[in-house]
Amino acid sequence: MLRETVYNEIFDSQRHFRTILDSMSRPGKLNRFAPIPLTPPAGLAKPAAYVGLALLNADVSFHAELLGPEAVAYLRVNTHAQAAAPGLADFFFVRGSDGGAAALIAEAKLGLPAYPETGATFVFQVSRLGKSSNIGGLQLELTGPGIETREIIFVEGLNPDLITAIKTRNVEFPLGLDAMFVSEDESIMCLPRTTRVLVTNL
Amino acid sequence: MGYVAIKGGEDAIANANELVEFYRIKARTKPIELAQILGQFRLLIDKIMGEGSLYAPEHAALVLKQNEGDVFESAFMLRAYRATLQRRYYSEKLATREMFVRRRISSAFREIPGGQILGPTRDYSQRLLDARLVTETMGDIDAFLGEFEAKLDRSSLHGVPTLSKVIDLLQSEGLLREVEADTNRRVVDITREAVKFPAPRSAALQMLARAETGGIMSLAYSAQRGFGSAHATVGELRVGEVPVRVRDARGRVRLIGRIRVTEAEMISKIKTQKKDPVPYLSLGYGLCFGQNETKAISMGILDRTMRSGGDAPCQTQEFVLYHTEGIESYGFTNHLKLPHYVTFQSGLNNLRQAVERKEKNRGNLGFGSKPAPQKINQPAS
Amino acid sequence: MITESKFQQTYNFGFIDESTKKEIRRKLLKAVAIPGYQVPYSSPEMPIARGWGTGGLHATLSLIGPEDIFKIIDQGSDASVNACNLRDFVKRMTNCRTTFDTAEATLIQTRHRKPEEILTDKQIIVFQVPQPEPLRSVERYEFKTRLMHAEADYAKMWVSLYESYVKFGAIMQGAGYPVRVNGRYIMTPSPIPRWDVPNLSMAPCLHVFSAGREKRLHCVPPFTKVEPLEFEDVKFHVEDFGAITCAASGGDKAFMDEIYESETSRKFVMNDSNFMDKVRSGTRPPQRLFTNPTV
Repeated sequence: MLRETVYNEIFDSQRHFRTILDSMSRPGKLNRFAPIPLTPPAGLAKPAAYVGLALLNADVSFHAELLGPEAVAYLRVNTHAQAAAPGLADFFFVRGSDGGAAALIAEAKLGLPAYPETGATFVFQVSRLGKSSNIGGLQLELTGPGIETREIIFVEGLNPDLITAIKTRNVEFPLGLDAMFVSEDESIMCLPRTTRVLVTNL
Repeated sequence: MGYVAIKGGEDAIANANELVEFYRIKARTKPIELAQILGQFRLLIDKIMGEGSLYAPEHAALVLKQNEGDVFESAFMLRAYRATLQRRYYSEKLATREMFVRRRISSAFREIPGGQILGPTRDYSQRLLDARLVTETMGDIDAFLGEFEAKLDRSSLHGVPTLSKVIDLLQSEGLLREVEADTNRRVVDITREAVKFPAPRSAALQMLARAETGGIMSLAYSAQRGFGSAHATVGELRVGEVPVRVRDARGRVRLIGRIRVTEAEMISKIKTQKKDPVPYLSLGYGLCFGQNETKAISMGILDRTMRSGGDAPCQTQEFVLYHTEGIESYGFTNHLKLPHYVTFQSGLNNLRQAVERKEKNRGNLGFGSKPAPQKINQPAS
Repeated sequence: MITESKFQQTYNFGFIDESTKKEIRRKLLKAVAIPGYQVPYSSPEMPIARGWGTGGLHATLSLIGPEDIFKIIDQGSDASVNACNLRDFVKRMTNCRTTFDTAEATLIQTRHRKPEEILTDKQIIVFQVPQPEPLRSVERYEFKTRLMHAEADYAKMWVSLYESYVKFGAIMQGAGYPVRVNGRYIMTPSPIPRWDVPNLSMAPCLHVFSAGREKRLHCVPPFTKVEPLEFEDVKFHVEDFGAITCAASGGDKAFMDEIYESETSRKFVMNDSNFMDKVRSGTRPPQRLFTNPTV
């Protein structure tokens, strides 16, 4: 089914937005989305669809080509946002394991010095996010605003090249990209452009 | 309780609301019908719709009644109501060449194609009190309307043509130039995004069209008096109805109604360039809801001065656009009535410490001793 | 022609339409990601006048959900007239529970104060901001202040603080004392008194600042460094209330209101009305206190 009918545009988007906001305010904190039985196409993970439906509308554009044409169509139909070229898109939806996304990161807009908020937002679909080392994948050590001292988080299904790509582009604060990571158990963790990230297990 | 002066806010608000209602109707006169306001306060309705940024005559009449005729409050209320309405479409470009013209003048030429049409205006009336209105009756109204309508040649009404524009004459001769060629032509919607400076002309015109009439008049007037030069001529001023069309989901253009607007095309000379010493003419454009000629003309002048460069108030986009926004300036000016004792206390604390320092440091640093009496320089006689 | 049904209207949850809420929400996320930076936003008209808390309402109504418990204060007081009016509006538009209890609230809107009681990581506080641009006093044009922020060129601001010191022997800025957020943007902390300024730094809650008329919003995320501007030898001071105690609760060490009973006698009461009520009932809530540096 292409058009979602179970999503409450007022209350579901509000609840999910608050989850996203809390995650963006506290980088490295894990939050679980309230579940909603959405049926996005195979390429688009359900929590990524939550983000899309919560934040996108006709005023913004997105790029989700790496997730396949069904994902693009799904986001367009359910949010009225326009699909756009990488250099123009406000939001990106990609797989965290897909090293090819590094090219998108390299091309995405960073905002302008006087208006840095126009920098793009990336949504990375990963397999698992967790606080303990029994989750495989990358161990990230985080410091910066929103973090009292430092945070450690483990991300499975994330290509380390993407972290490198983001770090390369976030060197000129306030210009930069903001990142959200969503996992199969419908958790979310965010890394705004202010977070200093160290991959400590490579 | 009484130990904090402003406790009991809820009761106070309820009482204030009740008093407002009391003052609105305490004279015990017949309730004003919206139809009367609509019928007899046409120009006021137009002004409120313009500043309220919503073409809705009946709603304008309602807010006017509700607010005891306060124009600022009424325009504000209409604006707030507007913000709750879903935006389903953007209209297609209004074509004022299609206007059903009620009034149309040019002060640039004696005769214009299609003719000068004076129409309904008080411009050439003597502003004397009309004592007859004190005792006006329904009979008087019927009598006037009967007589007036008898004089009309109704058959000629069907043939009223749309009129070409005066500026076409100048355009065809190549005498009109843009003030600045590289103007940002992006059409923004100032109700969907905050204006950024320098603002594209579309944003500036939208803001002026919603601006407070008196506010833009005063700045346009300053331009004419010498704070920023604008020697503008009314190229054409027209008032009438224009069709509004939208594009439906299937892409068909549909007529949704007609609105009355005033359009002003103000002509003035551009600054000459070294490369091109010809003082070409350029346009300032004004368009607003209803018949509000003061506003359209002022808008036309400011549209031009804001693009001409210079640092007079009327030439500064930020100054003009921010400070003529009636709803915002009205709100902020009145917000001074809110309690400010926390911020005031903070300042008072600084002031007291400054006084203490003065006592301690008497004579030091220049801010301790009594200031010497100021010498006033006398002009040499 | 004029029918009554034409004027009947139902309002969306939270008054603001969903499309505009989404826009404000996106801007809030960016404001969190760029601490202290003023994000322009659409700022739709509200049925409350500009300058009376419209910006606060935009943020509040874009954040609020049915489970939120809402508190609103004006000048520290829950019962101030404007707070009552805005509380009534939010209540009518959301049917949310409201409270005076700072600890119980999940979402707090405020004008000119941050509550004395420590706010937790479960709470968001929204400040109503009249003038979001800290540089406006030294540069009147927006396009220039934008550039100054972009280049972190704050020389004019420092000069003006220095001039204040030379002229008056102190930095005379009262409420709305300029601060530097996360070592980068200079920000106005709405006009809260200096008493509250240190309380923005490294706090567990999220701070949202929203200026409706000026159409800008900015954030101080939790655990973010907020430093008042000061010189090495001229330090920032919070308001000094000395050993003054509150006439109503007997407590001290809180921002005090001066109340004149007659032309000659005055007394002090705690400004934060809920805090004072708690002190009066004998349970002083946890509070972060800052002492002035000794000069």
